[in-house]
Amino acid sequence: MKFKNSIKLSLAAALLSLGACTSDFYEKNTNPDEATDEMLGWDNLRTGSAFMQLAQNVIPTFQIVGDEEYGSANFQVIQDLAGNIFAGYTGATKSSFKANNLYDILAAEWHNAMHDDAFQRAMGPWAQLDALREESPEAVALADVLKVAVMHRVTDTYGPIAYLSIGNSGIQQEYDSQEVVYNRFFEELDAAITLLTDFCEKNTSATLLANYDPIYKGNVRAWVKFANTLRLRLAMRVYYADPELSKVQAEAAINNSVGLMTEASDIAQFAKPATATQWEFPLYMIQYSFNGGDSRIGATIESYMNGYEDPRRAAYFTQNSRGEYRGVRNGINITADYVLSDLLSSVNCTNNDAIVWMKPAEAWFLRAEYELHFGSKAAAGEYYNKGIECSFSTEGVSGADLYMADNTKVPADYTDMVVSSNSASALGKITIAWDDSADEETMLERIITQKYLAIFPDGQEAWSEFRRTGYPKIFPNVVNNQSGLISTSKQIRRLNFPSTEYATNASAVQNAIVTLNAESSNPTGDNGGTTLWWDKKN
Amino acid sequence: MWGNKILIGATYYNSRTLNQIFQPSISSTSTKTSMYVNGGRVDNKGVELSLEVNQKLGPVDWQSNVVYSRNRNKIVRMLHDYEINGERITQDSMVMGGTTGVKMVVREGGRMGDLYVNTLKTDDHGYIWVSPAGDVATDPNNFIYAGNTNPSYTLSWRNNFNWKGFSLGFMFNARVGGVGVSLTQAAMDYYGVSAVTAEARDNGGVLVNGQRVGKIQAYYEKTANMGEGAIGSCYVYSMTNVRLGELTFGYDVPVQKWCKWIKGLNVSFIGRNLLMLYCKAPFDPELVSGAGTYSSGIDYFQQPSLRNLGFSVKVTF
Repeated sequence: MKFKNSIKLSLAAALLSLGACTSDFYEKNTNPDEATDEMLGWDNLRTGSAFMQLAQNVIPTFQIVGDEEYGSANFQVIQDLAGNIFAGYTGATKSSFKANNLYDILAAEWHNAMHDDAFQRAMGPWAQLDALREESPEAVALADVLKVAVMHRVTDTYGPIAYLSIGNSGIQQEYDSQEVVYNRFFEELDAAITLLTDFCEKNTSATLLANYDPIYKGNVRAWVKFANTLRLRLAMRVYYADPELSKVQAEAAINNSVGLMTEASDIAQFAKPATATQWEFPLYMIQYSFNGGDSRIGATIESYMNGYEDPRRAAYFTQNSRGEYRGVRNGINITADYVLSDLLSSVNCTNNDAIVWMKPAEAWFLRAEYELHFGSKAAAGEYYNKGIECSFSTEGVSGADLYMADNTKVPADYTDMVVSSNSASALGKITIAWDDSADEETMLERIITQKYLAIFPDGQEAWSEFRRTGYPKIFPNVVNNQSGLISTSKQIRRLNFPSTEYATNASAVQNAIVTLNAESSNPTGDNGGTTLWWDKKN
Repeated sequence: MWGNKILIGATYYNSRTLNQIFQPSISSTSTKTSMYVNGGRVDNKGVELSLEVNQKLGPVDWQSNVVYSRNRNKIVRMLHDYEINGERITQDSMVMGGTTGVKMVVREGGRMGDLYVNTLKTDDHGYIWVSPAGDVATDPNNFIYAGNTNPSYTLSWRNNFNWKGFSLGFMFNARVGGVGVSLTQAAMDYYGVSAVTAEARDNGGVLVNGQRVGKIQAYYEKTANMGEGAIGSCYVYSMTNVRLGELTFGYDVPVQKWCKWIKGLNVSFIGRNLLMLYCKAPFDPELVSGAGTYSSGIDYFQQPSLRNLGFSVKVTF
């Protein structure tokens, strides 16, 4: 009897569960560990979390993604083994880093990371925010500013990118020319700045996404200053390709009612969030933790700052065992002795430092260059000095007045402390003090050189400006494994399109090469020697 | 047949798999990393034949058994007019795994396990391009078909002899066909610790196009590139191999003569994977370095081949 009952019971249970199979479909297919769409609507979580993700990837920061730790290693291939070494800010010290160090770009797949991470990690969240434009236009305007902050680094690295189609459906997108991309940057910045300026003029104390903003804690005025300075940066970038566009955009940035960054506190940096249990400062990891140090300071910045006896050296670098500041040159055959040497300096940092996006001194140097091209030389000199002052105060260093008056010191010869044959005489001859009687080219060299010293360690930006203007005089490679494609004297002008794109988006890449060549003054195809659209001066 | 003297078995199968689930990487311009798709059609057909002979050779019982098997796999169809986000896409190949220089590609008309490799740059005549300074260059994004990792067929042959309580058995295994890539070898070459690099140093150069090129270190830095970045075509090996898979020798001790309550006592020696008779690859092709579908045929510091020697005593009461 008992047995029969249990059969009946189990049959009933089976029937019940059969019915439940479809009626609970959504409930069963909802991940209990994930926030649902509805939950994301509470407390701005939807916009906030997407914004935070986007911000974390303007320059890669430490993040836990699933079981994977993301951050320092990607920063290394995106920034330290690219812009930083190409700009002479750092020098690689691991013998297997020949890929970018010796211009053997394709030897590793590092040249993919900047592109793929920007699209997948930063533009993914941007596309989510883009869909919320109607309900929270101001927050999405902030996201648009970040979008440009991320993607100008990408186009400055490769040239054409698939920019206009970001956020569209479809699994393969066509690339846009850099000229088109830059024009779109300006449109997007203009719209965002207009909206945000209006917002902060009307609500002076109002904040946006304050709990999710690790840069300015939701301070919209600060964001507008950053956006204006970014616009001015891009305006100067296109000067040699399209001076008219450069002028119009620079003036729009300068004349905005909120204005540009002016003082140390305007700095744009991603600080360790108060709630973060884990954090890494990528340069600290690279210079102190990875293999005992994967890079040290670069020979070029060392040569300039040692020659100028620059007071900022102590803020930027550590001293070697003899109390000197010594760096490593890019493009050398690295031996094991470089990592072991105690005669080299590292970047002076701790693992809790903030990742700087933009230093306020840059705004002054950009204005100085604007005045040089379109305004008065005297004003250029004034802003040049303000830039130096602002940089000193940002680094907490005194002695700017004495420094900017010095008209004798020149960059020092470079001594390689490990392999003496890599030593080199200083290439730059420029002095510090502004000289109203100097010719325009000398003035430009002065401005860009001091900007180079002020924006350390943003090597990506320094590399872009070196390619655009030719300053500072960066030591060329000793060994060049792509000598047929990349000129040793002109140095590397871009990175190759990612191999991942060749694998998954082949026809678009082929079209992109045509586009790249069409807007280049040295059209040699997809390699490191082809110049970009804005790279028209030399 | 003939009183169990000869046993013949044959199996033929033909299967068709439709709408498999794939997770291919997609272009980052989509802002996504990969997608899930159901699609395609993969056909498998194969045959397995066995032949067994039982024969008395004088006082010796002889049992011999041969098994032959082959599988043919074909990707008949990939994605045609697949609808995603309202957009219709057609894709006839997908990269499923691999490294910088080796890609596992699933391609319409191809087979599962197709291996594509990148190459050194060649000149118009098909020779490897060498610069006047003696350097070779990579042709990074030009992947060519290297072969399939699966064997054309496998063969095993087992023999057992029994004589007055002694038994001797051995089995040969053969795998014919299939190619693999060894990144372990590349890593060894990169650090200059392989026999190949020693040979190059002794002879004053690496053999390229039949000529010795003196820049040995530069050559291996380019082709072997730390192992994981190796140029695939330089490290493709045939996975054909023949080995002595098993050897057993045993004796039934006539224990009942002395001790009635023990029914039987057997001592035997068993050895497995004892001797490789033929193998051109620098690794054991029967091992895989990962558990994924697309990791077979790529050796990157996989587990060493295991030889097994054992001794057993079996007592029956």
